[in-house]
Formats: sequence, C-alpha cells, structure tokens
Amino acid sequence: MTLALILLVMLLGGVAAAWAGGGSPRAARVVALVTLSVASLLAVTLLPGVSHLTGMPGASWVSEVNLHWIPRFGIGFHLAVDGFSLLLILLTLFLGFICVLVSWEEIRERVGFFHLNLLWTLAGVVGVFSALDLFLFFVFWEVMLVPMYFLISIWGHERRAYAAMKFFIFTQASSLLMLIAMVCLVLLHYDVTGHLTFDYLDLLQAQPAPASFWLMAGFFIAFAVKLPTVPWHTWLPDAHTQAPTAGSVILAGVLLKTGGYGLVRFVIPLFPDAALAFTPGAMLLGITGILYGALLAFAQDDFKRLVAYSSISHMGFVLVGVFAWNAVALNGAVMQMLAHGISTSALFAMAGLLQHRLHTRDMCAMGGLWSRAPRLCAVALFFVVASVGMPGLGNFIGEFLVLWGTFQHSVPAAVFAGLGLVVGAVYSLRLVQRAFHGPDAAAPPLAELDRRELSLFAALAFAILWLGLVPNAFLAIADPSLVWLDAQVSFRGVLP
Amino acid sequence: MTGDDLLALSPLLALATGACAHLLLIAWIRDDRTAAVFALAYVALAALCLPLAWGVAPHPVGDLFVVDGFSLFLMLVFLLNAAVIVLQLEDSRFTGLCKGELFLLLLTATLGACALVASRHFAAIFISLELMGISLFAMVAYRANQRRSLEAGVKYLVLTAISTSLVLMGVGLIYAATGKLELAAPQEAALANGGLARAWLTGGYALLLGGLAFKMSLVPFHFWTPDVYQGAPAPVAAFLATIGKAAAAAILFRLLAGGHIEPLADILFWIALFSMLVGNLLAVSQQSIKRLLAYSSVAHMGYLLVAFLALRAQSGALAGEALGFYLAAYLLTTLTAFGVITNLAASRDGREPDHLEEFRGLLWRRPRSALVLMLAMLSLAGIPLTIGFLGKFYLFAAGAASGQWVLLWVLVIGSAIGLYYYLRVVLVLCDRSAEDASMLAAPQPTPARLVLAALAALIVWLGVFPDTVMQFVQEAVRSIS
Repeated sequence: MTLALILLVMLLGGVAAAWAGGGSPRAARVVALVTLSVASLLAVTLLPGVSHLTGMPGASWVSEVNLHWIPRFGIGFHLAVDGFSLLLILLTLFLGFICVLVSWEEIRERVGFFHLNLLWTLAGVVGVFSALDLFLFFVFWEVMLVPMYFLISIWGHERRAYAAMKFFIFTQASSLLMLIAMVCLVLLHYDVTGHLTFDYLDLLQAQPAPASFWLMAGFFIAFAVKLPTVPWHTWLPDAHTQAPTAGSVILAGVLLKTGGYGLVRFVIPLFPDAALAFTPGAMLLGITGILYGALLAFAQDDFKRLVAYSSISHMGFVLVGVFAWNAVALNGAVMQMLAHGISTSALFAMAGLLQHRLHTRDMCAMGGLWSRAPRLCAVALFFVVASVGMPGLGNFIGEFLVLWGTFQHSVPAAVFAGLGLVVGAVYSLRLVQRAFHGPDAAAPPLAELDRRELSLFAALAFAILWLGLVPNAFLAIADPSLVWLDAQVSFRGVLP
Repeated sequence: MTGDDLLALSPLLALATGACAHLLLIAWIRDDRTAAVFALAYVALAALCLPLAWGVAPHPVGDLFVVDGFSLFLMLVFLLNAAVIVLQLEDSRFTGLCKGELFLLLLTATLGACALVASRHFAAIFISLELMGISLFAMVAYRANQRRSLEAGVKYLVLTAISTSLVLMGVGLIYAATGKLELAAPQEAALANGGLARAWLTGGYALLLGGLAFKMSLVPFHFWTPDVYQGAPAPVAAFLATIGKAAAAAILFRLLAGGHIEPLADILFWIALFSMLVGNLLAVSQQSIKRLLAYSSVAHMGYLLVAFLALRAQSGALAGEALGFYLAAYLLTTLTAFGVITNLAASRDGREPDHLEEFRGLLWRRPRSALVLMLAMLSLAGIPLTIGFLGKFYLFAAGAASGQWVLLWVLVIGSAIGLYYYLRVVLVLCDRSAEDASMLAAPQPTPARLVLAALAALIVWLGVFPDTVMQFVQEAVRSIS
C-alpha cells in the first residue's frame, strides 16, 4: 500500500501547494518540500524490503497493490516495485527536492500552480516506475506529460509554445504505437489462453507471437523517443532548452529514464526473441546516438542546448548497455541512468542560475566567469568533469560497465561507443573554456552561490560521489531485479 | 397494438405528446423560463419511460420500429443530452427573441433522433430523418435577425434536402432490387440474381451511406459543417454535433450490422481514411473555435468508422461496444466544449466568443471555465484519465481485433495532428502574457453552469471509473451484434 500512499501524498500535496500558493509563494514551496519529504520517507521504508529479495520470480515485488480497475478488459490497478524501480523512484524524489530549490528564485509567477504541475509530473513518473499493469503503465506514461507540458508552456523561455508542442506530440504519437502493440499483445494472449488481462506478470507468460517483432517495435519506438534515440531525438534539445530550470531537471533527470526503464522492464522480458533479433539495429541506434549527440553538442553555443545534446549522447550508452545482453552491461546501464540523472540535473541547475544572473544562455557572451565568481565556476567544473566520466564519480562507473559488457558482446561496438567518451571530453572542455575561462568582459563581479544554491549542489555532488565511490551499494539493490530479468530471458533459451 | 407495444414505444410517445402539449403551452404562456421548465419535464418524462421499455425489450413494434437495448441505450444518451441542451438554451440570451419555439423544435428533433435509432424499416428511417432535419434547420436559423444564422440555416436546409434525396433514391434502388423495405430483408435472392439487381442493391446502399454521411459530416460530405456550426447558436451547434451525428451513425451501424457491410466496406474504408486526415488537417489552421470543433468532429466520425469496419470480423460484439462507448464519450465531451462557449457568451450579453484570440489567457481570468474547456480538449485529444481516451482505446481494441492496421496507422497520425490543434487551444487558454480584463463579469451559478461543472466532472470520473458504463454498454448492444 505504501506505493499507493506515495502517489496519493504527491497528488494531494500538489493540490495543497496550489492552494497555499494563493496565499504566499513561499508557502507553496514549503508545502512542496514537505510533500516530497513525506513521499521520500515512505519510499525509503521500502528499501529494507528489496534488499532481502531472493531473485525468484513472483517473490521479488514489494509493496504490492492489486485491485480490479476495469474488469471488462482485465485491467487492474497493479502497483509494485523491485530494487531497480525503487532506485529510480528515489532518484525521482531526490531530484524533486532539487527542482523546488532551483525554482525558489526563478519562478515568481503563479507559484502555486507551478508546484502543482511539478508534483503531479513527479507523481506520474513514480506511477510509471511502479505500474505492473500495462494499461496502468500507459495511463501514467501519458498523464505525466500533461503537467510537464504546462511547466514548459507556461514558465518556459522564449520559444516555449513550440517546444512544448513538439515534446507532447512526439511522445504522444509514439506512445499510441505502444498502445496498439499493447492491445495486440493482450488480444494474442487472449486467443491462446482465453484469459483477457493487461497484467504484466501474466503477459510475461505469453508465448512469443508470430508478429512479436512488430509488437516489440511498437514498444521500442515509444521508449526510444523518450530515451531519446537518434532519429527521434529532435524534440529533446528544444524542450530542454525552453523549459524552466526545474523542467529541464525533470526532463533530463527523470523523464529520459522512463525510456530506459521501459526497455529493461518491458521490451526485453516481453519480447526476448524479437529483441535479440533486433540487437544489431539497437546497437547501431545507440552508437549513432552516442556519437551524433556528442558531435552536435560540440557545435552548440547555447549552454542548455549543449547539455541537452550531451544527454542524447549519454543516454545512447543506456541503449547499448541494455542490448549487450549481459549482466555487466545491464548494471552499467542502470548506473548510467542514475548518474546521468544527477550530473545532468546539476548542469541544468547551473545553466539556470547562470541565466538568472547573466540573462543569457549564450556561451559566446559569457567568458571569464572564473575571475568573477570562482566558487560557482569550481562547482560547475566538478559536474562537467563528472559528466565527462572522471573515475571516482558515478558516470564513470556507468560508462565503464557498459563498455566492458559491450566488449564481451561485440568489440567494434565497444570501440565506437568508446569514441563517444573522447568526443564527450572535447565538448565538455570546450564548455568550460568558453564559459568560464577566456577574457573576462570586464563586468562587475557576479553574485556567488548563496546558501540555498550551495546546499543544493552539495547534495548533488554528494550523490554523485556516493554513486562513484560505493557503486555496490546501489548495484546490490538493483541486482536481484536484473538477475530476475536474466532468469526470465534465459529461461526461454534466448541467451546463448 | 398490444400493451407491450405501447410500453416499448412509451419514450417516443411521451416525447411526441410533450411536443404537442408544448405547442399549446407556448401559445398561451410566452415566458422563456416556463417553456424551458416544461421542455425539461417532457424530456424527463420520456427518460422515465425508458425502464418500462427496457422491461419488454427487445421488442419489435409493427414493421416500423424495434425497441432493443441498442436503441434504448442511445435514447437514454440522447435524452440526457437534450436535457443539457435545454438548460444551455435557457442560459443563452437571444436579444429580441422568444425562445419558446426553440424548445418545441428541440423536442421534435430529439423525437426524430430517438425514433431513428429504433427504426427497422426504411419508411421509419426516412420520416425520422426528416423530422430531425427539418427541426434542426429551423433551430439553426432561429436567430433570424442575424445574417450568419440565416446563411447557416439556408446552407443546412439545402444540404439536408440533398442528403434526404440521396437516402430516398437509395431506398428506391434497394426496393427495386429486393422488393422489401425492411432493413433486415434478405438480399440473397437479389444477389443471386446477379447483374442488374446486384448493381442496384450496391448502388442503393452506397446512396444511403452518402445520405447518412452528410448527417455525420464525413468526407466528402463535410463541407456544410464549419459554416453551420459557426452560424448556429452554440447550444444548437451542440445539438447538431452530438445527437444529430450520433443518431445517423447509430442507424448506419444498425443497417450494416444487419449483414450489409460487405459491399460497402471498401467505400467505408476510404471515407474513414480521408475523414481522419482531412478533418484533422483542416482543423489545424482554424482560428475560430467552432470551426475547429467542426473539423475535429469530421475526424472523430472518421475514427468512429473503425468500429463499423470491425463488424466484418468475428468480433462483432466489440464493434458494437466500441460504437456505443465512443459515441457516449464523444457526446459528453462535445457537449462540454460547446457548453463553455454558451457559458462565456452568457456573461457578455450573449455575444459568443468565437475567435481563439478571445480565449487567450482565459485560465487567469475565468479559471473554472478555462479548466472545463481544457478538459474537453484533452478528452477530445484522447489523453488518459478522460473518457475520450477510453473511447479511443475501444477503437484501438476493435481495430486490432479485426486487423485494420492501415486505419489504425492513420488513426495514430490523425491523433498526432489532432493533438496539435487541441493543444493550441490549451496553450492559448493558459497564455500568461495576456492580461486582458474582458469577460471578467462574475458568473452567477445557473443550472446550466452547474450542469457544465457536472459534465466536466463526469469526463474525469468516467475516465477513471468506466466499468459501470462499459458493462451497461456491453449489455445494451448485445441485441445488435
């Protein structure tokens, strides 16, 4: 029941924040923080449950809720988490705090409504990570878009309407393909068993259908758009750049992870044969994403756009890791999702506060910031280095494990993916050079990080160090889920 | 005529009696409010007769009508719909016009729609269609002191006359081929004859389809829709968009469910495909909310045809359910969208907001109205947790079960285009840059507004807990599939 309670708390907290925002903006922010604290506490109580997991199918779900919802179609309100999804939920809630903190100064209009949308988006994401009924998953998948759409279109920057629209249409159109695939899967399962159900655990038993490749493609496209994968990535730079800082943080930190989550949770176990057959294609898409995203990032002048393109590159590693078909790479993909969520959020927060101070995101107009605000720039450098993949920080673990696992699967794939790290270093250092070094514009000193901003970045830095130095603490939580996945897949004799 | 016949027909009889009584009433009392109250009472009376009819259903009445679950379900939907429109009409201001006759026309149009869905004979279909069409034409042109309204009325009159003559010609050809006027008349004999009889039969059904496609405003018979919507008062446009279309769709479905789908399947396929694409594409560039809703309704009727084509497969039951649920969802949502326009018009001396610019920033000026309209747009776009999504889900299920992959693809493309213009409305509504203070008049809670709030709540409630309605629809359509 805890999961249902978390969702309820966040939904009601959103309403409360909107109501409190009518009085004073500060009240709305405080209500949002309190809501997130309660939700996080509830989520943390689930942690002991997952660490005792046996790795046996059926036994690995904690906090299960399974109610009838729409019996006509065998749809249930089925929530449960395992270690993997719980980690992502914790990441979501953690970044929720960051979002409230980064918008403390930035958002001044309609603060209550802003926090309503913020909390509801996060609630939708938590729902996505915990739904075990395909229909319910789809509902959360779509519902989280609506408040996100409002976040971009109301509080965004100059081209917000265009960006919000593009974001929504890309995601919605691709997810309708997933809906068709879902319905077909369910109907095929019904034809064989005579049991109409949308339940994930039941459908896992479905015999691989003759059309399973097309069904897999329906799911894959929806997740690939969200991840995003070249050539379906074009919504991302616009949405990330135009969103308010908190919106960028949610998009990059959490929403992209739903794509990776979907691949691991649905595409691989539901259609193992089709997915295996599709491995070369997925690898190609992943590596293209890594290299193409990195090259495009290199060409950007806009701080946020650069970080946005770097996300495409980093998320390519997730796709490669998932389709390398071994536990090492899969662990790497999970690690990469967590670490990228934190490091990119930090970079977007940095971009947001620079924009707040300088009123521009254009790196050509920056330059020489180091002498104007040394502490701020040092913090920024830390996260840039983290994003490059400095050993000792989380991203390194993720990328290294993915490359290691991929190497076992295919050497050329690993080599090409590895090239992405090199280009990554180039564009990241260019960012540091253009924005922070160089001739200063002889402008007055910049406001340094205040206490709120410092504590926010300290929390993020702590998280990324923790991920980098004690990765096992996290991998151990996710591991039973991945072992279970492995069992699901190899049980059918898919793995060689 | 037996007692059961009377029971079965009681909803229609109640409406017909009500219409006659109303005629007398408005001759004596020229008061809008009284007229509205009585109109509402007749609709309620007819609705109360539905359980009586349900008790004897399915029951054929003579050669003309059959009262079964399918027709009763639609009658219920139509009566509820009509009641809401009565309230909306009562709420809207027509300067210098008494609205008494409008309610009378509404009653006869509703009677036509209810009779249409219970028809099982071409004569009954024709009479009901005419009853509905002629009443509607007068309703569209009711504000005779306005040019737009007259133009729309004439347009609708001409086109409805054409569509009726198509139907009539079609019926004639079918009669020539089979010698029967019952819908369920066997055609094997005619088909077996081959040659001319076969051609007549196919041609007759095609003409019939054309006539009904006019009413449903399917491509290529959709040209009247935007002009008429724009010219008609919002509640009347709502009637056209909801009951007017649903009744035609329902009788077409009854016709095709009788086993006449095969010769028309190809035509239906192309009509569906072009309706989805053309409707959505034309809606994209509209600046008027009513024209936008008009083109979007073209697309929605195109979506609905997926359920018709699903009749070809073994899963006929799912087709009927999809039709019933989709119609209910579409009617509820459309009624809400038009209700907001009526509601906003009422607080500015009856001048309906039409251009999208008039809605800019509405969320910050009239948050409740804007939220309701937003909800209606999201439901039309098919976003989950609204009833519109479940309607679309039904179509996906029916389409997938009958293997209509091409149409499902087009449906996805159409929905993506549709999303663009529905979201544009949402975007306009919540544009924070507009600080125009017009439309600020504080609205009084009238019955129409309370009902509007209830409709909006229903969109979400049924979007989250649809099971009761689903089971009801499943039960109701059993008689037809």
